[in-house]
Amino acid sequence: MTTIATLSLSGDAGCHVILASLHEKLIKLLEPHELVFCQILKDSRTIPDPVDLTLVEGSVRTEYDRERLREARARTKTFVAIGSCACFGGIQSLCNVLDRQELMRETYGAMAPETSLPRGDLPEVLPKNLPVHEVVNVDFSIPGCPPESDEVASCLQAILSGGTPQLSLKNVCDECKKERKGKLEAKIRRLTERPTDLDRCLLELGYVCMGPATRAGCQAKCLAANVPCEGCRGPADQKYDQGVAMLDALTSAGRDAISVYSLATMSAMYHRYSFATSILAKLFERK
Amino acid sequence: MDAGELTIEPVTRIEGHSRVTILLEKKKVKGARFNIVESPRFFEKLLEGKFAEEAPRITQRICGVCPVAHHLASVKAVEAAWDCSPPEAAINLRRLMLVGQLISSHSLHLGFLALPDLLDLDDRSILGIAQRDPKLASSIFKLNRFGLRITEAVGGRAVHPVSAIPGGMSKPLEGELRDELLVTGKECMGMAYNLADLLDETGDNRRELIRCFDLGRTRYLSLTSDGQYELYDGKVAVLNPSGKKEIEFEPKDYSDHIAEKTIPHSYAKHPYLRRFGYPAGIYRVGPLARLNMTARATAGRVAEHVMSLAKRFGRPAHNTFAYDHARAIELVHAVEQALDMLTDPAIETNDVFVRAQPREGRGVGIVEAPRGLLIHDYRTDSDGLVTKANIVTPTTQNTPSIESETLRLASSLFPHAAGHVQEMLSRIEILIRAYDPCLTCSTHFVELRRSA
Repeated sequence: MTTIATLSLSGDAGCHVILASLHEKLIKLLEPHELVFCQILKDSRTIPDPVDLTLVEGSVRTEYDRERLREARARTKTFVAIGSCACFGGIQSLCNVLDRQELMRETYGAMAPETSLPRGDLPEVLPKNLPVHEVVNVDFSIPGCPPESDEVASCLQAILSGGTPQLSLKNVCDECKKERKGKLEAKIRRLTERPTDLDRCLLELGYVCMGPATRAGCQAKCLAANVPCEGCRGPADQKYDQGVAMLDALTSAGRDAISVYSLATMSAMYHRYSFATSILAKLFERK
Repeated sequence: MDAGELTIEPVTRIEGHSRVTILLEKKKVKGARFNIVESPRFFEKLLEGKFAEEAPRITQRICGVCPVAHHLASVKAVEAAWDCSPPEAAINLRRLMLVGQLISSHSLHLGFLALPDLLDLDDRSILGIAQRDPKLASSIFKLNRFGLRITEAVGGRAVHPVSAIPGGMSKPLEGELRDELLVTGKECMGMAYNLADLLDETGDNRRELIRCFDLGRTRYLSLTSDGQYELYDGKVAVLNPSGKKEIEFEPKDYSDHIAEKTIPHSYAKHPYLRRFGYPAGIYRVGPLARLNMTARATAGRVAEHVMSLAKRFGRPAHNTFAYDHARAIELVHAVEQALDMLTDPAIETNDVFVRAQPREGRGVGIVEAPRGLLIHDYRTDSDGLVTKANIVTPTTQNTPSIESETLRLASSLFPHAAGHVQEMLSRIEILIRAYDPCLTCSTHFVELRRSA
């Protein structure tokens, strides 16, 4: 029997929604084990010490997040980051280029007749939003915003039986049903333009589709809905920088394309979910 | 215990982390604080400089429980800023998706959060329900799955859909998906009826518990179109505590009527109605607000339940338990609405997109999220990049009431709480949970802390 805990830090609870949406499968999965701490499912009061397996959702944005994360890690044998916030810092890392004080002032000043900032009894907001692995050691990662429910189930099954969860090493293009002709249009299209050919590769039509730089396993569902990939599952190989992997894909697709896909006009397109782990973020820190 | 405090930490709230502190002095409750310690994620700042058409995909990451509501409020705000009207078929699909969201969110709340308390289970969790009443657990799962499946069929994904784009939808609803949803929806209808009946019975069975949630009268705020129930369109109306509509305004004018006050002890701001000032102008949103606002339904199961609710609590209903019953009533209504929409051949219309022209403008998008009125307000520049954004979520709007009711409940229970402090704190949690706490915040972690 394994004791299991789940923890949520800064995020949107989407990963817990996925866990809950396993329904009967979840009940069955948990049957031989004991769920000892889980904000969704149990009246548990604290993470017991020790615990065999902890799943953590969300990133580290405040001192409170950091404390709870460290405490959970210290009590846990196998520690799993679930979702792109935990794995890469998630979408909220896009604010890492902004000054913390300015963020606070602008967020809590707007619309208020008095512009007093929150102060008493509140955890400190850290200078940057961090992925979990920058604070503690992580044994396994299950990325995605959110990860697919089948994927979560099979990864958990693998971990609970002492194995290693298998994530796809392919990219989203490998699962996409749209047709590639090997020719990239030298024009950027925005979402407001409907694709001229619904069967054709959206990247080739000029949409910023992160498919070539994003881990597969989602069956390219967004593409099936005629919407380009936004890279929510992070790079296929976690050693890579997702934006650089994208530039690499564009380079091999055609030299002309590069000049159009500039970083300046494409704010939040190349690292929407993985900015905190990107080379850009490191360069920004050095500045 | 001359002076001290009782703490519940963490309590359920906006996808995470909050704390209730009851301040005591001379054996009396002196104050209550609802601290929202959930990390701010600065979505409003994050949007600046981004293509506005990307906002519906970005902002839905505010909430994994009601992403559809954010996705749609966002797309409506951009369309309003760019003066773009999507085809009717696209709006029908959005309405269907919003109803799907209501079904998945409400079934999750009732099954996973509220019922374990109301049924007084030993194991207060969905696992406890599965053990004691497998059939009930199975209907909760089925309803939840139906809601998520609608979102996936219309939106491309079950959590964080992608299909709403300024100008319409990226795809129509495929025929085979519609057929599949119709079959499931019909199976779900009876389950929704049973769930609403169960909540109604709870109203009888748990009288003593429910009585303590009679905590005063408030104003209510929701969308309405000509007095009819409305989730996607219409005007915003304010209902006074005696049930009279006292203000009605267009979504774009929301900031003339609603102001937000920054609270020192919370990362959420307290909204209030400007006309009445703070704190007199605080109000409530969500399932109870929507039912209180709506003219009485005339026939059917929804009407029967609305009558039962009125009989138990009056009209408008103010008892906070009525939120749970209202949620179950809305669930019935949502399944009925979904079936109606799916039966209508118009839902398969292919014409779901017009091209929107990015331009300078300001737009407000308001929808009813499962937990209440959700406001997205954007300004864009001539390239259609977001220059300024303001987002007001339902939970934020309910926060002032949660705080004042916590104080009132604690004050009424405390003199009798000697030896029953845990029971008192548990009731405060049930009260807070009735507002539909979000998923990650559904813990029951109660810690008793006394200062020296």
